[in-house]
Amino acid sequence: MSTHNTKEIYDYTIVGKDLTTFILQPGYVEGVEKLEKTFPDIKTMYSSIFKNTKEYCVVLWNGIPFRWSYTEDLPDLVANIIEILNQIIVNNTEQWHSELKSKTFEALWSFSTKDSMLSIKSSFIRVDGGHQNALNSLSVIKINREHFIAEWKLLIEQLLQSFLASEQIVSGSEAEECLHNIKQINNHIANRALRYQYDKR
Amino acid sequence: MIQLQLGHPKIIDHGQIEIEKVNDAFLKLFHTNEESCFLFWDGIPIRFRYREDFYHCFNEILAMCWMLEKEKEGKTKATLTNQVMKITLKLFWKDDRLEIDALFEAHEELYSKYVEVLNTKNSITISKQSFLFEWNTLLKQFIEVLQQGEVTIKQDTENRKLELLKQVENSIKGYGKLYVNA
Repeated sequence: MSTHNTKEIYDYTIVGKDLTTFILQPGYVEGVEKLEKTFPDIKTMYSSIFKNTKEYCVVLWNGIPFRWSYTEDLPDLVANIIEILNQIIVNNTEQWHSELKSKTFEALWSFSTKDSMLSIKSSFIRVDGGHQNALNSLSVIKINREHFIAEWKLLIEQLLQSFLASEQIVSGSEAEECLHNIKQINNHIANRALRYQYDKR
Repeated sequence: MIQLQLGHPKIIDHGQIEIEKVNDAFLKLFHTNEESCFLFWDGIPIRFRYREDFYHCFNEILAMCWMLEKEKEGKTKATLTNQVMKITLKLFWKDDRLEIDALFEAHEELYSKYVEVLNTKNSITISKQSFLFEWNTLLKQFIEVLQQGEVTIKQDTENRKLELLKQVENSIKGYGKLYVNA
């Protein structure tokens, strides 16, 4: 799928360098309780783990932000996020797409990679706040692959650490595979985004 | 509904520093590449960078909160700016009823659709107290940053501004919805 338009990408760069990219700012994860329960799937498990978290995970898409709730959106999106990162890091896939859908968010992200660069074209269907048309007006992101996966590192760490802190158990092969992938991806992403590498700024 | 989500920036450690104005502290203490604060305007996030945007907006935010906190009835205007837009807030209040008329103007055509949707939700009526609670979380963060940064302010007028910041923060008896237990 090659709908990326060079003029569009060039146009985005006129405002400022750090606007024309993908930035992910996770919220603060609060009060993970030790429940030691068994959950049938990842979604139910993370809904329970994040039930006390009030801050949002905010994504900046070419300078326009949208938000994901830890209680209402991220539990639905974990499997998508893992799949996206798995395609980039483990499978090294050149072209694919991912349909992301949660309570307040729905989008189709089409990915293509070439050498060290990653292009993402998004069709935003719903976002919290209803500004999907604004996001669709700046729908293409072109970013270094390593920079893109580094943006996810802190969220992946949150998913892993909050799971370990909760001492919960998932049953079912799909859920177990997802957790295995979270651990694998966490090991594969060497660095967090630069703003979270406090000794290097 | 209006909510404020703070970033969790790590400040630059200079030891003790002397500055001319309170807002100079933002340029001195915050990294360029840092987490941001987000104002959620009816669910739509608006980004404010600690270093650059709050350097420009600090005086307006403080004056807005001060006016709202001290007067039972009144009106005021605040102009905020970030990388992509200028926001003009006209505030009218009586007791706890606060009406806000906002105008969002994009700096560049690229962000016209973003401000367009914000302008469709430009009129909000809320509790004055809950509005102040949201901003008070940020005022408290500013005070803590200035303390951690061991900042000394040279100008008397700016020292009075710092005192006003502490006074306003102390007078508002609560914090934003994301930072209090239900």
